[in-house]
Amino acid sequence: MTSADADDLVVIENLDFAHGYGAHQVYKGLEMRIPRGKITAVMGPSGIGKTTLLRLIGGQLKPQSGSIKFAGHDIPQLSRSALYEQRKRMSMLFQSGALFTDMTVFDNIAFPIREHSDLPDEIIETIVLMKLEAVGLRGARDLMPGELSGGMARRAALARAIALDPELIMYDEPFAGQDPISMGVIVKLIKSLNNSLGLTSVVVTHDVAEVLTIADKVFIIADKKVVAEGTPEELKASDDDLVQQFLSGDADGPVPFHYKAESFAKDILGEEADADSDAEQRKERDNA
Amino acid sequence: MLDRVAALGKAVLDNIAGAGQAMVMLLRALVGKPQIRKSWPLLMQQMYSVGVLSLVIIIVSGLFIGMVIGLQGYTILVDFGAEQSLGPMVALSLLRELGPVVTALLFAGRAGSALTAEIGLMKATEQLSSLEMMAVDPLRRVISPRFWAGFYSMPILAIIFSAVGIYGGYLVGVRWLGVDEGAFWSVMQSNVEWGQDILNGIIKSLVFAFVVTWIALHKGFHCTPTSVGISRATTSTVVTASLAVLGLDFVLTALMFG
Repeated sequence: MTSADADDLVVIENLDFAHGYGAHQVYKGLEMRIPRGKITAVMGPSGIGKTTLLRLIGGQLKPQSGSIKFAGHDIPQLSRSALYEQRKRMSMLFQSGALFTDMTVFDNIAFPIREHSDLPDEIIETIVLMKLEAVGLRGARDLMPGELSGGMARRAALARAIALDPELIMYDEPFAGQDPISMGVIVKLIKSLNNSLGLTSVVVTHDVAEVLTIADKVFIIADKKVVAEGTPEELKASDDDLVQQFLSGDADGPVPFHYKAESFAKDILGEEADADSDAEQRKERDNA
Repeated sequence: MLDRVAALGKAVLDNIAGAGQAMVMLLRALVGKPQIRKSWPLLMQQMYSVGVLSLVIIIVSGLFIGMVIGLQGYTILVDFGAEQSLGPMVALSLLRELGPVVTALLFAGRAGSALTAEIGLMKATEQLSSLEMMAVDPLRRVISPRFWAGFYSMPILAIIFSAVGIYGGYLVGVRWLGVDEGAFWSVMQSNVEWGQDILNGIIKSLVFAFVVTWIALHKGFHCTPTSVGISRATTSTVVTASLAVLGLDFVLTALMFG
């Protein structure tokens, strides 16, 4: 292991990934190093496969080629049981929160602890209350997930994600669909949890303004690979068109506004051959 | 023409792949070190939602079907002066055929569809993914207890169905139409055999339980996680499971009584 590897918790090298049987190529030659103990933001237009990236790191998807090293373990090569061992060291905050709807908030957070330890109930209760206190939901312990607002559900899910004190926590669009206050709360929580628990955080998002305030490192993904990386300051100072388009939110630029399609004229006027023959007929009529 | 051949080929391949997925799912859910302490409460919880909550529909249907057989049987048998045979007729139709088959069909509609929808929604709301990311195998945690709950509860439901049905036949035949009570029960007792009739009925029921629960879980676990996908999977569970039960019933009947 080189010293660079020791500083990076997740190292992705030369990763190729396609959905289905190669029908939809998502990544080609992706390279990424996620520094230990820092907040790393992964940004990019929607549909670029940012969530897929988290699933690849978590071993839920297998790449066609390339390596994804988590703390030195090559995730795609691990056996099922070894993968489950590594997953105990990481956790993921899903976009929807993914709380278990048939359990109270308390039981949701106690769930991973009960599954992976034989701790007595009193200790589990103490741990759960500490985690709930950290996200400000100690008073909501007896509510069912259906009774929580979107922001509260995400905070409860965050408490569950940190229940086992993971080394890596992956946030999938943590700010999506949040009102400004809960967005601010989540930004603050990500920052404070990262610092106080010594976590490594990966935040996948396209909420540029929010994430740039807390990120230590930023990757911008487009066109199946990383197109820019650096600290928020470096990216703001970048003269790359694509980076600037992304940071300032312009509708059109290197990332086109239009999904790839045939020319508009051809689409609404029919085949060009038809258009030509129409033009000839018109010309003949005019001559006549 | 070529497109049609290609579409046919794709449909066949998809079906084979689906069957393979279902097989792998079941094997991974069932094979492995049993964890009694953790799985027992889960099994009980599922037995309640799959079995106990199906009791009402099973009991009511059993009662009415028994009553109908009693009435129909009586009107036919009385023409031949053979109304004493009403007892074995009701009992044998229920124990050999209607008990296992109708229970399986009702179970597919009541519990099978619920299982598919529940698991499909767990998939759509990323609960299955989040289990995986918490290093908890969803196959062992979600699929396995539901499978065993369905497998154990359906034969019990079928026995309850047959028992209630026989009582329904008794109500109509003896209490309403005046068949001799002693004849009804004693002729039934002498004509129904433990191995040939009751045990074969239970075996049928176990086979149906296995197939219906398996189909329901597979359709839920491998559905497209959208509202349309879940609705299709739920419909498909009821249709596929019902057809499978009726087809298998013929095969089993031919093997057992043919």
